[in-house]
Amino acid sequence: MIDSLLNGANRWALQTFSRDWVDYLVSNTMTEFNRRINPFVWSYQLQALLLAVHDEADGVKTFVLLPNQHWRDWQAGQHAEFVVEINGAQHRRYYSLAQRENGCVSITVKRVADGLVSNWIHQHWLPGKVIRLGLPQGSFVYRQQPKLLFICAGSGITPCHSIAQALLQQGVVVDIAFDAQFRHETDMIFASSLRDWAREEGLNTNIALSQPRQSCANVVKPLDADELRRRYPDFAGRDIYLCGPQGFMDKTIALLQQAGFDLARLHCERFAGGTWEADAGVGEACEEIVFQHLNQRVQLDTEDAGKTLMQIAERHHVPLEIGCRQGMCGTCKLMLRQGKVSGNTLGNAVYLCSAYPASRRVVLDA
Amino acid sequence: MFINVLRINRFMTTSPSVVASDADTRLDLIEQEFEAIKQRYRAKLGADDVAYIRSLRRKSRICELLGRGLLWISPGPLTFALGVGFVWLHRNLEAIEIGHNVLHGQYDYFPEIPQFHSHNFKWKAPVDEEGWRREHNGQHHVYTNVYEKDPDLNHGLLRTNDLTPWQPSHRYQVPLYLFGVYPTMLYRFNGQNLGFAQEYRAQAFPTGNQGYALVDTEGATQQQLQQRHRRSIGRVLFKEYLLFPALAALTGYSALKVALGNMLADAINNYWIAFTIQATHFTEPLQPEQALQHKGRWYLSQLDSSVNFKGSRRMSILWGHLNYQIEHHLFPDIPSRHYPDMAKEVKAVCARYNIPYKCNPGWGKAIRNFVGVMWKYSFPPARSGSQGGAHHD
Ligand SMILES: Cc1cc2nc3c(=O)[nH]c(=O)nc-3n(C[C@H](O)[C@H](O)[C@H](O)COP(=O)(O)OP(=O)(O)OC[C@H]3O[C@@H](n4cnc5c(N)ncnc54)[C@H](O)[C@@H]3O)c2cc1C
Ligand code: FES
Repeated sequence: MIDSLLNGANRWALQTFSRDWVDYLVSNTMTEFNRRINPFVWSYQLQALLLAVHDEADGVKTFVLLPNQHWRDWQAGQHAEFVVEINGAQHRRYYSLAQRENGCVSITVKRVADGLVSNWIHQHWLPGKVIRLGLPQGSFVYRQQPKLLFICAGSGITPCHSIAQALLQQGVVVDIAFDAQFRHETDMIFASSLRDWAREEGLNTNIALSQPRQSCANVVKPLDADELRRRYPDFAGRDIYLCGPQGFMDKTIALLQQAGFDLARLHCERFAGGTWEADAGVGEACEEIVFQHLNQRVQLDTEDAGKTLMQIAERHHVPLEIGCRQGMCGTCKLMLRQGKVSGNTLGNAVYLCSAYPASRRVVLDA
Repeated sequence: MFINVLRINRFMTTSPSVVASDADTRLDLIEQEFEAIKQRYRAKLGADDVAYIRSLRRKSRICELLGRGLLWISPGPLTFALGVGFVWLHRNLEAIEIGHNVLHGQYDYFPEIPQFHSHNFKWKAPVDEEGWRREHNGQHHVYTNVYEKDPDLNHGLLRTNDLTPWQPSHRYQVPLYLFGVYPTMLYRFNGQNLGFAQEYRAQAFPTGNQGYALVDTEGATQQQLQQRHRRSIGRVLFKEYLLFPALAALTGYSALKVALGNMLADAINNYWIAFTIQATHFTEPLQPEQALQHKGRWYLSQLDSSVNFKGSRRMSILWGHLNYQIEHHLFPDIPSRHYPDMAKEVKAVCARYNIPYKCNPGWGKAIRNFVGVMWKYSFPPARSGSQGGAHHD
């Protein structure tokens, strides 16, 4: 009862005022009392309220979320990290974001056979639940190209659909073609949306089934060299956005290569890869440093070896707060959220000027 | 610049060319001594510090409750005065012992109190926190008393040394600061931290910002800076001069009395803090920028640029422990409650190495000293043309 009242109030506040104003108000009234009464907004943590759940297809659900004031502007095609606690253990998975009205976003989650998190989400995420997530990230976004072709399979359609939808909604003049592949009729995600786009916007959209159960109108067969040329005769002049299961991606890339497509114009989003269990051991070469409060991530190169976190950040133009550079003044301190560092640390606080990354991925926050 | 160097060489008793290595080993030893003190106290940090900051916040809240309650319903002058006193106590604790120290990251180490982490904390003072952290922690504390590097040395329109070109307006700096700036001191910090003051000087002074340190606003647009300024000030003005007076009016009490009480508390708070912070640096010698090249040398430079003043432990809380300016500058992100104990160890090291440890006998003397410096430098240099860069134009 109280919960639903609070949820209603939070929803009203976040949808009526800009997040910026809510943050101003909330951060300046962060009392113990407020934090206990309404921990959704009176919180230092980014979290989202689950507003609705829709069935999308067999084993596929869409979750509509309202993030609190710590959310940032983002671009269609980006994803966010979701933190799910199952039996006391934290698990992190990424899901692509789609724009919804009224400051909401949605994610579309497909159950993976034996998948831990995706199945748990399907069972336990009910409207009213508060969900922990990270800031939007990723570079699978539109970059002002005039002609696009999306090629996707399975749940890989989510970021592609999100980009195309945003472009259509904003009325950006761009030539979009869309190729989506699913296994069966019952697996199809966003199929009606694709058909609407074909009918109303005149887009060249195709839905392919790899294992159709019955003969079915309006579907085509999976993409191969001939089909590529037939469906998209001008594919060589397009930027291709590709997302889907690893096998599908490998096959498609080989296909494009054979067809002589310029791979510099191929943009990929990988859903699998195993980077999410990031707690690598100490001493491993660091590949990525995330500055969560600035929403900036740095991919390390060979020249970063042996450098302090601050030197690395500066090389990559991260605007840190910097003072003495020798561990005396404390200006540079940030909090370690994930991964390991060595050198000058105290508790969770890391002195960037005199500490070094010590795991594959290091996540720092204010 | 070279006068500068002469003034700071008093620790290096031998001439630099002779026995340079002796001086170096001495600096190494000094570095080790102060690092050892720091490490000892870092190892001690724990539950007591968490309890301390929590209990301070509780006390500040109780003062606020009492103060605002008394001002709200106060029937007579005595309750009104008490009300002002309590509101002032609340605002004083929040501004310095809590706010200033928290923004140094003195409580960043304790995950159980995210509200007291330097990047989460919101001041109940009219100051933009990020601007403060960059200017105060990142510049003032690093380049303390370094000419044209320490923005707190000559700030605003103030002139506190002979290197800084004299302007006719400096003639009025004592009354201007005592009666114009100090009663609203906190409301002016943004002016410095967000770069508005340096823009003003660039326009108003023929020598521009010569003699004054520039702050770097790190790529923020004018619009963003103005917004941060408005917001940090707005939250205080709203609470003190709109919300609480309105609440009084709505319940049939005097809005005017509440606003007046809050204004008095505000003014007292501003004076209190201005007299505390002004009394601890610019009376002391200028420092070389190169001090930063050696940690031992940097510690010496912090010792030479800061001066303490005596006071009881309880009073120290009301000064935000800034009367332990030396310890604060040597160890800016160790929780302030340790400074009185650290002071004993610092003094012992100073005695062993023959380093002057500077301490005024009381606040009154410290105030007289700094007003004296302001007075002295309100006049043009006696030997005209021989100093600073005033003759460049
Ligand atoms: C950038 C990015 C964006 C993503 N966006 C989405 C999205 O919008 N919608 C969505 O449903 N998923 C998305 N994913 C995948 C998602 O993060 C999870 O990997 C997926 O939900 C499986 O998690 P799980 O815990 O259920 O499976 P796990 O318990 O981690 O894995 C169970 C088994 O399934 C395999 N497996 C793991 N992930 C996949 C996969 N994606 N496809 C096939 N097999 C897999 C594993 O190798 C393992 O054998 C995205 C991943 C990334 C990296
Ligand atoms: S910059 Fe001074 S401690 Fe890191």
